[in-house]
Amino acid sequence: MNDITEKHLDQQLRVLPQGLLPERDLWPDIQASIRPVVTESRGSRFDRFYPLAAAAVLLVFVSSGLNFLNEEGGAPVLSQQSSELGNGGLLNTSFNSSASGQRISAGYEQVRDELERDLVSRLESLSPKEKVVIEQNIKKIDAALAEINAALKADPSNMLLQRLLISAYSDDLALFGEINSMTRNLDERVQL
Amino acid sequence: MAIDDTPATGSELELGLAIQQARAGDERAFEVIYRATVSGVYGLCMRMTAQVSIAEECTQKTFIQAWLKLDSFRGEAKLQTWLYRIAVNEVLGLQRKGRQLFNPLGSSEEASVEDAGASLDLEAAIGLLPEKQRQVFVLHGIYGHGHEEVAGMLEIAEGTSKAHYHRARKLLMRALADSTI
Repeated sequence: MNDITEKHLDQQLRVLPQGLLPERDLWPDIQASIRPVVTESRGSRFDRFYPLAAAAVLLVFVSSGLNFLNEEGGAPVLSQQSSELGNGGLLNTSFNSSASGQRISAGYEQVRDELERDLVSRLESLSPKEKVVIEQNIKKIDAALAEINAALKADPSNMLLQRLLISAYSDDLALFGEINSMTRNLDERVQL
Repeated sequence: MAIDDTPATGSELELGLAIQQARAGDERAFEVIYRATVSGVYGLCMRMTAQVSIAEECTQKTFIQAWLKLDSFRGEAKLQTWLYRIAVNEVLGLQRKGRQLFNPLGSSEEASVEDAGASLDLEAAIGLLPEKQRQVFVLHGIYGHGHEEVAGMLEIAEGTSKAHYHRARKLLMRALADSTI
């Protein structure tokens, strides 16, 4: 008999996938079971969350769009003056009930302020058309963040909303970093 | 039985949105959740019950319960963990109803895994473990729940969970060794 050691068993366990797919699609039966529940008790609340969902999807869409612009090589644009950026609805976060939430929000605002300052100093290197595009996109993102934030204000202990907002923070900061990087590259090309 | 090695579809952000929409009654959003998590839930049900038809039933009931209880999911735990807890309850519920779900090959529990013979891989060997040992092994060894959590799920003492796990490992090592003669 070969000796199977603890180590061998652990090795086999590590490569064992958690997921197994059922041989048939179980969704139709599940759907049939939940459908009566949909009409009886759940439908009325959809409207409450629809704007939130739309806002977050918009945020992802805008971020992706700007990344695409960057990859295409066209430098997008900023028509935003520093005061407009600052007043345009930077998120006033609403993790009011949570100290950790406030720390996260404060950290986010600090980093974004720094990125904005960096960005403003580079605005002049962009064409008016490019500035308008960037300005519009930043306004959309601010509006999306505000939507998420408003939902969280109504339900501040909702962990899902908090995670959603943190993801949105992350996307927003990544976007600012991306814009700064693009304008920096443009500066370097001009200098060359 | 197909193995699903692909990561769950959609980012955490997308899944979070789907949860919010499903809570508001969006059936399509719930289907997104189902597609992203079904392999984990079915895998757990299959390994705990060791029978395809029962695992399918357990999986369906898990998602129906999840739909009904979605308002109670506050996001403290990951969605997958929350679903696993529901799935375990469904398995135990079937067990309490006296369904003959377990130990498909043997009347003598330990004989089933020890006498399984050649060409036994780990997956098959797990399926032949005695009921409680299999449940503990699946939850702790495969799905990574701590013994305290496993004990809570299965309504047993933490020490009992550890003992079952230890015994399951011994049986598996013996069964796998026998199969490689």
